[in-house]
Amino acid sequence: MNGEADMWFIGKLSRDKQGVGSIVGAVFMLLILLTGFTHYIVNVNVTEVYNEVLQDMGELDLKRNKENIEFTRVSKTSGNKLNVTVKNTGSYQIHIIWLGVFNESATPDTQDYYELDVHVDPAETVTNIDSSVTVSTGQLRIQLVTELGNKFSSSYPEEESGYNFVDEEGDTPTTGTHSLFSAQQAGPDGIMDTLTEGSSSTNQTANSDLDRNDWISGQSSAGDVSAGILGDTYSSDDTRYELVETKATAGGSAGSRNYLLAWRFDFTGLSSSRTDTHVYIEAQTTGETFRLYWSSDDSTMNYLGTITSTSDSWINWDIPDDTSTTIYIILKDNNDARADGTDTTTADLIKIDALFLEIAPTYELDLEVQWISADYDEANEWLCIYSGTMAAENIQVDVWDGTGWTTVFTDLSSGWNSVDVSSYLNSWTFKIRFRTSDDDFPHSWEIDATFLYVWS
Amino acid sequence: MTNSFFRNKRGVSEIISSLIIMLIVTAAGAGLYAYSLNAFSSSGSSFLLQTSGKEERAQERLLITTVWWNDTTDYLNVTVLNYGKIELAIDAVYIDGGQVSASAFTDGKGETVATESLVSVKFTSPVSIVDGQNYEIVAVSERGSRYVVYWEA
Repeated sequence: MNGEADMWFIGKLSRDKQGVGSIVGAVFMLLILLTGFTHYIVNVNVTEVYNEVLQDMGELDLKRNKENIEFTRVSKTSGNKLNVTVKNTGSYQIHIIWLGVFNESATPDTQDYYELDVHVDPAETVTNIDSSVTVSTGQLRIQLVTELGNKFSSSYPEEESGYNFVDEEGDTPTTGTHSLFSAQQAGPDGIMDTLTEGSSSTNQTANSDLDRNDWISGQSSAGDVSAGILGDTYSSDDTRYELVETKATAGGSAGSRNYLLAWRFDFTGLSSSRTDTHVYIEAQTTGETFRLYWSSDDSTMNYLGTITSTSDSWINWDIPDDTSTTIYIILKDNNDARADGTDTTTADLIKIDALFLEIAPTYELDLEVQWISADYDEANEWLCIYSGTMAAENIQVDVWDGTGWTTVFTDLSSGWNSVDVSSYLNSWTFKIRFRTSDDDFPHSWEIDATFLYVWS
Repeated sequence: MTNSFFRNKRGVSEIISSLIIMLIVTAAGAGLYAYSLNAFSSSGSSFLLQTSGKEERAQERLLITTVWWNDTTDYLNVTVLNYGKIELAIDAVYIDGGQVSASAFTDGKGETVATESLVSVKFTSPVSIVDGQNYEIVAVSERGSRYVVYWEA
C-alpha cells in the first residue's frame, strides 16, 4: 500500500474529524426524551380524567347529602291502593326510583320493591305515589329510594300520635266541586283546595191539569191529556199529546158557535224564593194559533206567547219572579168569543211534546270527605281544618256520627278551626261534609289542610 | 520491542474509527432507548391499570336499603342498591366482622348489578341472629367498595 492508501485505511486520528457519534447519541437521547414526554402527557391526561371522575362523584355526593323528602301523608284508598304524598324539602330535584313496601306484621316479614320514575322539584309536593300498588293490611313500612342513593321511610298506619290527613273524597251525589282535593291531604302549605258551590237547578212538570172551559162561557170540555203531559221527562221525544178543540154547546146561534179550547196546567209546591223561572214548551198546532198564559192566582192571565203550526221546537218564556208557590200555565185557542162565527168548522188541535218549568239554578255546597284508616282509639281526637280565603256566606261542617249528621262548625274562619270529635270518631271510617245553604251566586272557600290530630 | 511496535502502528483511519464509534454509540443508544421504552411502558401500564381501577372504584356507590331476617329459615337478606355510575357485583358480606363464607350464599353474590338496580343478597349468617340485638353488616363489592349498616334484628 502506498502512503495515501495507508492514510485512508489506518490513518492517524484527527481531532477535527469528530461529531458523528455525538449526533447519533443525541438522536437517541432525543428519542428517549420524546418517549418519556409522551408517557408523561399520557399520565397527565389519565390523571386529569381520574380527577374529573373524582370531582363528578364528589358533586354527586354533595347533592346526595342535600336531598331530603318529608312524608306528608301515607294512606290507602278504599281499594287498598297505596297513596303516598311527599314533599321535597331539599335543594335539588329528587328522582325517586324505588318504592319499598315492608309488611312488619306478617310472619315472616314481607319486603317488596316496586320500580318508580317520579321526579319531585324542590318545595314540590307530589301525591298518589304509587296508587297502582295494592297493599295488605297490617303495620307497613314504606320506603322511597332515590337515584342518588338516599332512602326515606315512613310507617303506615302512622304512630300512636300524629296527624291523620283526610283520605279521600266522600260519597256521591255531591253538590259543588273541589279544585284540588289532594291539597287538603297535606300542609298547611299554602296549596289550597277551593270548594265551589254547585248549581242545583230543577225542572218541574205539571202536577195536575184541568179543563178550564169556564173561562169562555158555554165552552164544552176538551179531551183529557193529563196522562201524557204530566209524566213527560222534559225530553223532546216526539211522543206528542193532543188537546182537541170542541164546539161550544151554548151561547149565540148554533151556527155561530166556535171550536174552543182552554186548558190549565198546575205547577205546585214551588219555592217562594225562586229567582228565575222559565216555562218551556215544545208543541205545534194543526193550523190555528194557540196562546199561552201564566197566572199565579188562576184569575189574572198574563200573556206569554203563541204556538203555531210551525213552532215544533223548544220555546221558552220568562215568568217574572214572585213568591207564589203555585203557577198556572193556561193554553187557549185563538178565539176570545164563544159564538162569533170565526171558527165554526175545524176542530184544531195542539200537539204537545213536553211542557215544564225550569226553576232557575241556585247554588249550594254539599261535599263529603272521609278517612278510611282513621286512628280512632286514642284518648284525644280533634278535627282540624286550616282555611284560606273564605266567602262571606257561612260554610258549615258536619260529622257523621254513625246514624246522622251533626254540625261541628256553623262556619269556618280563615286560619285554624279545631274541634273535639272524639265522641264521633269510633271507627276506621270517619266522614265529614262541607255544606252551605242555597243562594243565587256560586261562592267558594279555600281549604288548605284537613286532618285529625290524635294522641294518647 | 513493545515501544517499537506501538510506535510503528499509526492507528485506524478516521473513517473506520468513525464507523466504530457510530456502531458503539448506536448500540448503546438503542439499548438505552429500549430500556427506557420498556421502563416507561411498564410504569405507564402499571399507572394506567392502577388509575383505571381507582377510577372505577371511585364511580362505584352502593347502599344497603334494607335487611330482612327470616327467622323461620334463618336466612339474612340484604338488599343493595347500586347508585353509582358503573355496574357492580357484591363479593363479600361481613356480619360483626365475621365474613360470610362463599358456601353460605344462596343468592346475589357475584351477580352483576346495573346502575339504579337492586340486588338481593341472601345468605346464612356466620353469627347467630337474636331478635332485638344490633349487628354491623358490611357489604363489599368486587372492586373493594363497601357499605356499612347497623341493623337491629
